[in-house]
Amino acid sequence: MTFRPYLCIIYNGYLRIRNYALRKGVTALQNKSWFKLDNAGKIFPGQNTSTWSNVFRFSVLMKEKVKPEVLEQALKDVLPRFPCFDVCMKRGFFWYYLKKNPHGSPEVKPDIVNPCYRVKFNENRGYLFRVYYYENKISVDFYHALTDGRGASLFTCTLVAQYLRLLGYDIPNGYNVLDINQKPTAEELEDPFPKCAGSKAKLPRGKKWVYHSRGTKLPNHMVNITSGIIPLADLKAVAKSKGVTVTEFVETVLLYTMYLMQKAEGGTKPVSVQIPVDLRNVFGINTLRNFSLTYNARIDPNMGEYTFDEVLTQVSAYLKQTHNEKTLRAMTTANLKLEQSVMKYMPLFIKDLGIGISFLITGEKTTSILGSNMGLVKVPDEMAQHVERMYLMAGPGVINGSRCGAVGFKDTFVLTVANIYEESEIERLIFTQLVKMGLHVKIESNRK
Amino acid sequence: MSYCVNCGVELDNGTESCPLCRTPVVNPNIIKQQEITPSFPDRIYMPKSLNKRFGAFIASMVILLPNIVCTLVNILFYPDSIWGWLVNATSLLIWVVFVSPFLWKKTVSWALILIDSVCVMGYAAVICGLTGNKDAYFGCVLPLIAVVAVIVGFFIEFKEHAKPGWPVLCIAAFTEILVSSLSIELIVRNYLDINMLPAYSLIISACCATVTAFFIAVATNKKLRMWMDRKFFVE
Repeated sequence: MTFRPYLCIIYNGYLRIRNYALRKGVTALQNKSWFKLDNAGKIFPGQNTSTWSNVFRFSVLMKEKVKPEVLEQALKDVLPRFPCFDVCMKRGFFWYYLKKNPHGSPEVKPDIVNPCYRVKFNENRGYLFRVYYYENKISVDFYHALTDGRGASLFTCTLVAQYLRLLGYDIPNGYNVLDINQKPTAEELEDPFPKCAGSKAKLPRGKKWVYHSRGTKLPNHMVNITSGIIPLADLKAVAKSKGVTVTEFVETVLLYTMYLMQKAEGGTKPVSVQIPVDLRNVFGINTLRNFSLTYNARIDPNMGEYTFDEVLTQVSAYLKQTHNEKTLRAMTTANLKLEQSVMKYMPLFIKDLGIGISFLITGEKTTSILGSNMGLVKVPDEMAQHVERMYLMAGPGVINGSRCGAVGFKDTFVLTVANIYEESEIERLIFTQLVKMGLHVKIESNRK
Repeated sequence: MSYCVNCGVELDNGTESCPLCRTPVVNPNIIKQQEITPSFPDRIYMPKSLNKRFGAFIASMVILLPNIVCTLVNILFYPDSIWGWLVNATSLLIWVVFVSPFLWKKTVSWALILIDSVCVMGYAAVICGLTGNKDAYFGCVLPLIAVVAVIVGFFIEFKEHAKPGWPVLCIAAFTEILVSSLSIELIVRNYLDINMLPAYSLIISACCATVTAFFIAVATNKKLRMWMDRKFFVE
């Protein structure tokens, strides 16, 4: 009993020293002049070509028309909170790295009909994200080496919250809105992958080649975008009636679409859907960098004809079996093993060449379609009343006819299909399947 | 509020046809004069592409400099020798084949093949002229280059304009191998002034004819093509 005050003093002292060290560490990180690319991001600069980069878009549809000058100021206010976004890409001898960008902020531009075009490291004042506005919509195109969907939603929601504050609204922090006066934590800025590796098992990615849709390719840098707006409660009810989650249901719709496409062409190759998975919830790490892996659910038409419900059972079972910490740890370990192999001693131009050739040969060959579902994005109620809905657009693929992004906000779920072909058969099959299941779908498209 | 009668999806007001199935949308309730803001902007941004012509110009300069040096050294220090001609001819051939296509604003396959063939003929003429093989040049080398150029040109034009499927492309390729092997042997036999009956090219022709017949069967028989797709897809 007599030792308790002394123990309290010692413990308080320990807390003070720890907090001081953390503050120092964070300040050091925030003022850091360069960052290493994270494990997932290291691959993307090597895949860059003069016609394609791995870019995706996160958009917020407001209830009022966007004021660009206010948005520009909001961007300047927000950027210091995201030091790992306030960077430009530079070439080291062995790896690319992110250097603090001296230009302040990127230009806020009027939106274009062909978003997610290739990234060139010396354009856009060197920034790896582009901010656009059109009528009521604020859109940000992110180069995937910078962050993933979750990081993009945090940045865009914080940007929109600050934009609303500058317009005179009182928007609190919380959910996807970060406090711009708070310093970023070390956890937010560090590469999270090494912390999750260390499994004795290594699960490499699938290598089996699968079906790819064909069509008349659009000119370089062009993409057909079609968004389907669906009532979230109805979608949840349909998924629940089939005993699966919304993600399992949507991924099945995409997989079954590709199966139907191939069936119409008379082919029998395996069909697969690539499903990105956010590792933050699994490992409890809140990072702003890339922290996701992908699953590949597939069916083999050589086994016979499939009904939608059969594919749904297969996808649901696959995800239930695969989505666990142990499997993800083994997949991360396999990815890190590649980075830490003899490859790390090779000069960058050899790595670029190797990654480029490997991506050309096997990059998208193992997936027929990509379906990235971000789930429900939450923001404070005070902000939600100014926002109509949100969009996630996966960038166009190289040989994947379509790549899809989905996001839920309030009572709407928006599924966006980015198609590199003139034909709209994939979109038609996806959305008519949903209509046939009794769901109301509203279509928005950039097709003329 | 408009709906597509074919797909059942709701469409933006003012949409003229369904983006999914192209079915025209007719909604008399929508007032045409009403100003409707489309969901997407019209502005297109086309990123600047690499300046290939500038790259080709730099490559041309890099090739030109050693040639000037070689020619000057040849003229000043070895006036009796003409080795500088060989360097110039080789550089010209490399430049025409690998660099000049990037200097053109628009390239046409047949024109590229024609220019390359003429250049190869010129290069062969320099080699044959320096070694004193005038007869070999006109009797054998020139016809061989012409035949190969015509066959390659025909194949590329066929591939670009007819856009055939892989079985038809294989038929064209093996037929051309057959024709070229026969032509090469006949040209060589004519130059050497020996019996004009083909011999070794017949073996190649027989193999090509068999393979061509197989691909004709694949092209015309859908079941066989599907079986091939299933059996031979690369994993």
